[in-house]
Amino acid sequence: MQWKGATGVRTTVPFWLRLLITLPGILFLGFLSMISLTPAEAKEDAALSERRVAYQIDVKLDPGKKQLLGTERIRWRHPGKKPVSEIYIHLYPNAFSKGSTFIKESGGVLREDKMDQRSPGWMEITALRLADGTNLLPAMRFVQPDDGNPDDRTLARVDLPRPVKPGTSLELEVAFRVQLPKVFARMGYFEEFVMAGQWFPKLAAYEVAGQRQRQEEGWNAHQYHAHSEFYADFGTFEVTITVPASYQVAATGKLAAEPKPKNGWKHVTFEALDVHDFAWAASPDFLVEKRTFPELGTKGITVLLYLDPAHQAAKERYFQITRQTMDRFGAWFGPYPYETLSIVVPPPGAGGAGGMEYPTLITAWDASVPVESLALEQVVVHELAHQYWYGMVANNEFEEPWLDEGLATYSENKMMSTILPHYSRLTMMTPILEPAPLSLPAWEYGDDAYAANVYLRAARVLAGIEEVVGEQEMFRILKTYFNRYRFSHPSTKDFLATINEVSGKNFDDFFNRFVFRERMVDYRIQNIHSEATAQPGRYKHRITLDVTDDIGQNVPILIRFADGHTEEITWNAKSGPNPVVLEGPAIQWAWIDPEFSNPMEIQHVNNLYRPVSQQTILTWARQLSFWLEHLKLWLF
Amino acid sequence: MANKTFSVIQTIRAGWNLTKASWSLWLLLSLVSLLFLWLHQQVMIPGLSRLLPAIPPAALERVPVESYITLALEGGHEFLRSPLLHQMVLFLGLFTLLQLLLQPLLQLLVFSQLRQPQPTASFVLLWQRLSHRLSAFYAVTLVQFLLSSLLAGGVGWSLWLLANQLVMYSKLATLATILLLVVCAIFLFSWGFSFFTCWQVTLAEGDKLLQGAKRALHQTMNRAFGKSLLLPMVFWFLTTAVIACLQAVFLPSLSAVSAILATILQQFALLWLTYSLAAAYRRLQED
Repeated sequence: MQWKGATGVRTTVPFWLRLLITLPGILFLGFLSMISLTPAEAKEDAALSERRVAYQIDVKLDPGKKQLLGTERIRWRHPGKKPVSEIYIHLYPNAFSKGSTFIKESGGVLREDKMDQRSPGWMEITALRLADGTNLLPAMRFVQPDDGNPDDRTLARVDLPRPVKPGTSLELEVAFRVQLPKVFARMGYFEEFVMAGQWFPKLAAYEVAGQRQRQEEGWNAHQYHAHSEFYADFGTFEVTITVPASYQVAATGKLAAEPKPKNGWKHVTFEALDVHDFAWAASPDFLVEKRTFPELGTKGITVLLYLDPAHQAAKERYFQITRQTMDRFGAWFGPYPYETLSIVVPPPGAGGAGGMEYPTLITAWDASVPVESLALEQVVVHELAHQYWYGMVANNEFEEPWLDEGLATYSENKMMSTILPHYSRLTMMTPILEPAPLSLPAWEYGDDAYAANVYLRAARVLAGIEEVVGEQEMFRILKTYFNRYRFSHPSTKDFLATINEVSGKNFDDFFNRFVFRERMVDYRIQNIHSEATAQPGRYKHRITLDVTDDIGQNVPILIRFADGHTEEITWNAKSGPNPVVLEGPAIQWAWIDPEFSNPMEIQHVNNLYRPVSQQTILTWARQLSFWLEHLKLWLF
Repeated sequence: MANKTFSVIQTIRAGWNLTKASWSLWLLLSLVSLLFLWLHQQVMIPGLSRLLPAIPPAALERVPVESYITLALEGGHEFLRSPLLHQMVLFLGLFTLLQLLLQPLLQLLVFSQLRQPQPTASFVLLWQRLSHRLSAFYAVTLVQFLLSSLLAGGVGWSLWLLANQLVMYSKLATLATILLLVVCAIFLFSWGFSFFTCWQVTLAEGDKLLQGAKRALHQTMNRAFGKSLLLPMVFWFLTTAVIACLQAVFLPSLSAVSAILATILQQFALLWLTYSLAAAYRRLQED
């Protein structure tokens, strides 16, 4: 546990004397901080993260109005070295109200899920005070640092009456009301089901100098965008959720005590330590099943499944894939340190809530997905990978989304390939039509480019690193990256430095080409020159090849001859001959890597060469012209 | 039922007689079509020289099916962005415009023959009979072009979206929707062909533009719906099948001959269908 605010005192007093003087003070402060800890913090001695922020939230669900009424106490400990005069609070539910940047960018459609415009969502702050009662509401104003959209109210800046000194804490008391939208983009209601993600006023992340290569310390706050996800400091949560007694509640962290229903309601309290977000879901229809796997994680993992009845037949599959995945990820990356892991399967029709990760809680696809579909396993594996890449290794999802989505997709491919050997081919074969740099902020990608680059191209680039270093070395890299940066916020450069250090190779140029720019390896056959030999029907072929952005891979080339036989040769751009010379019957076609086994190549159309005569072209032109004309004549 | 069958046969026979009597028109239409075919060919050759070598061979024993889907999507994307395609589309657009300008003139000759059916090689005579309705024929061509373009565009776009979904999610329901959409589009285009033919028949008979449209709608919807819906489709399928067989016989050695024969046959079938539909509507009016 390092508190940067505690260092930096300039003095000439010898170290031993300083220690002697300050030790009682440190012990006293330690004692003070112990007694002022929240109950959640006090129960856990060994903090895994810096715990810069502590939330105590009481929230009540109004099932009729589909509203959340809440009060919240936030304690933020200033980790920097400069006084802070303002704070930033995320009010994410306002993304679902008219004019928001989220709606403008998404057009009300995300991942093929359509927002019901008749059912908007919003968040109202009804009280905002300092612990001493100072009213901060008049000092709160909405800000739009990313796009200047005046109608966007997803981020608020609050100017403080007096600066927060480094190392000290700020306590806020907040009252809020949230109107849940009809479920869309990770949040809302569907009939009686409720998915509460990004539902509470949430403090932005504060970055100290040096964190993510930052020169000056300060807040890192962005609006809610169509494609961006989230970024926050690690801390503790103690959340009491009041719901009708018939509801089952799934949430981040673990249940503090068994709730006792009273007057038709029940208060369910959850505690979560060393997490940077808190989500919950509730429904009277959930089938809840709990299983503990003592062999998993550092303390054993209790998996809680909140299943929609439509997927009851798939119950065992959810448990099985979770157990298998956490076992593999534990071996590959490191042990999962939390005690619980909750899986929510939303009801059919609540697709907007599906496929999302939160610390210690994930949502699977909604139960409209056929139970026999492999998509059940796929989504669980992907979201479980996010427990590592996002949940614990918490990169800035606004500014560097590729780090968690790319690593999650890569991990998903590795895990799913243990079940289905050719699974990763799906990633290799999905066309990436608009390659873009991976290091862009989420909101700078177009609709198609976001998923294609941040998920797929990123996973391919990571597979490309594996091609260079080998699988075992890649796992060693990821294990080091996980252990070094868990419960902190690494950047792309931190990841690169880890790769360089562990592999002993320099990947700077690799990153410059494939991460910071949109380049990928591109093999192509330039031409095939054939000369007749003395033997009738046999030719001497010269196949001229070309490659850009080579990373030294061996690539297979399949050649089909006129007599019907095929030959496969392997070519390396660095060490292989060019042109490749071979003898045989006339070549019908030659194809570099026809099975798409090279993850680093995304431009496959020029891998093929097929000699075509002028006569063939003329015949095709006649045919095509005729059939086009034929169609046109009858249509118009 | 028997009466109806007889009526269809009579209709086709009437169309056949009129087509036989209009051999000069058939020749003219074929020549015009061949001219445009030749123009199209000139525009397409450079594009095909680039495209054909990139079309992957079917080597399913060595190359997985998914590779072809990826290649089609990648290749399609690259093709759509290529300046060569833009140039090609520009020229094909110009040719289409030229055809649109020419079409009412040709249609005027075709429907003029209906007024006094007799073998004639005199286009001047045919022209004189209906030249005063030229603007109305232009209006029909324009409406037909706009509606057909909208429909074709809408169907094409929907098919593209559905095909994407099919590739991504492999849902049987998506495949069923695609098939349903294609069948509906075929029926709609078939009926549309009959409606616009009937409209031109009414214009040739002296109706005003809107009055003719109403009458054509009434005839094709209420009085001869089955024929209007099915005849163009049957003609189209049969013609396409015959032409495909013809080309299979002649290709690849005589592609020029097969293209010429196919064009002549195509124009003949089109004229026959037009006159068959026209005969059917005129008989309905006489009733």
